[in-house]
Amino acid sequence: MKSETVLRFEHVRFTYPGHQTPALDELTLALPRGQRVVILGHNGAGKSSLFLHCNGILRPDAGRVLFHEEPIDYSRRGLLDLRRRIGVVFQDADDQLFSASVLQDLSFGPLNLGLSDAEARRRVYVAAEQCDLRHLLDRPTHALSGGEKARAALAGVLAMDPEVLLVDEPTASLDPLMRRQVFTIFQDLSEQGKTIILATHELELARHWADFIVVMHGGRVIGAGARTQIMADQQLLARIGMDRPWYEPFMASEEYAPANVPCTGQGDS
Amino acid sequence: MLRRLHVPEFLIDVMTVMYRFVFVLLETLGRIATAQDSRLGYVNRRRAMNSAALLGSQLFVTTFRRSQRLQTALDSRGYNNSLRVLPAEYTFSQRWVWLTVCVASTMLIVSYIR
Repeated sequence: MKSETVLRFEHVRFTYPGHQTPALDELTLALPRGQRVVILGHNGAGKSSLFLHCNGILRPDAGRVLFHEEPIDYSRRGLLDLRRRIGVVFQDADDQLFSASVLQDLSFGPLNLGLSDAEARRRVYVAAEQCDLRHLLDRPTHALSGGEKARAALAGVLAMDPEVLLVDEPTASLDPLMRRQVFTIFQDLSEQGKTIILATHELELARHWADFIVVMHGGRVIGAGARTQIMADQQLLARIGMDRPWYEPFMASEEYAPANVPCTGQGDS
Repeated sequence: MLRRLHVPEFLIDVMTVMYRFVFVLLETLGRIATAQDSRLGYVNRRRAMNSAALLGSQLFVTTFRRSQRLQTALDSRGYNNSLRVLPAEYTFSQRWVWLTVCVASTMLIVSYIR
C-alpha cells in the first residue's frame, strides 16, 4: 500500500553506545514520497544517524520509524526487504567499495537480493550506464579516481533499484563538473517517481534543488516544510547560522559588507 | 574461479576483503606519513621514531573504524553473511595462454634441474 508519507519518525531517541549526548533526540518527522528532499544541518546535527535509522542499521532506543506508515520490521527478512527498497550511499566511497573490480562491487547488492547471475549482470550494466562507468567495469576499485569512486558507490546502490535513495553529502567529494553529472542522475531518478533524500550542510543545494527541506540541529528537527516556506523563515535559518552566507563577513567588496560588522583591520584608516 | 574450485566460501570472502584493504591501508599509510612529514615529523631520527610509532597506532585505529564503516555499508546493501559477486570476465587470449604455458614449463624445468 502506497501512502503520501514515505518515512515517518515518531519521537525517536538514539544514543550511540558510550556517548553522553543523544544523536537523535525526540525526533519526529514525516518525509513526503516522490519528492526531492534535503536534510540541512551542520556536522553532528544527526543527519547520518537519521539515515542509518531509515534502513534499519540503527534501531531507536525509544520511539519508532515507519516506512509507508508501517513500523519497520527488524527481522532478517524484513530488513532485507527494507534495504532493497531504501538505498543508502555513504559519504566516503572507500567505505563502501570492497571488491577487486568495479563489476564485482556493483553486483554485490543485486546478488544479495537473490537475483540470478544474468539478471544481476543486467542490473549492473544498467547502473553502470546510468553513472557513466561502462568503460571502467573491469578496472580494480583502487585504481579509480575520487569522482569515479563516488559514482561507483552510487551505481552499487542504484543496481539494487531502490524506491528511496538516501545520499550522505553528495557534493563533498565531487568537483562542480561531476556534481552536475551526479545531479543529472538524481534528476532522472526523481522523474521516475523515486524519492531522493540528500543530507548536506550546503544551503545553496537546499535553496535551488529541494522540494522539501528538513532543518536539523542537535539531533532534533527544528523545521520541516516546502522549500519556499523554509527559505523564507529567516529566524529558523538563523538558529543554525545559515541565514547569511558563511563568507559574508570576509567578502572582499565593501559594497556588500554589512555595516554592523566592525572593521578590526589595522592598516587601512 | 575459486568458487568453482570449491574453495570454502569464507576463505574467498577474507581474500576479497584483504586484497581491497591492502590498498586502502597503503593509501592511509601514505596519507598519514605525508601529513606528518609536512609538519616536520621526520626532521631527525628521534622525531622520526616518535612519528612512526604514532603512525602505527593511528593506522590501527583508522583501519578498525574503517572496517566498521565497511560493515555498515555492506549491511545496507543486504549483506547476507557471504560476499557473493559476479565472477570476473576473463577474455581468453591465445597469445597469453602460450606465454603462460611457456613461462610455467620453463619454471618447472628449471626447478627440476636444480
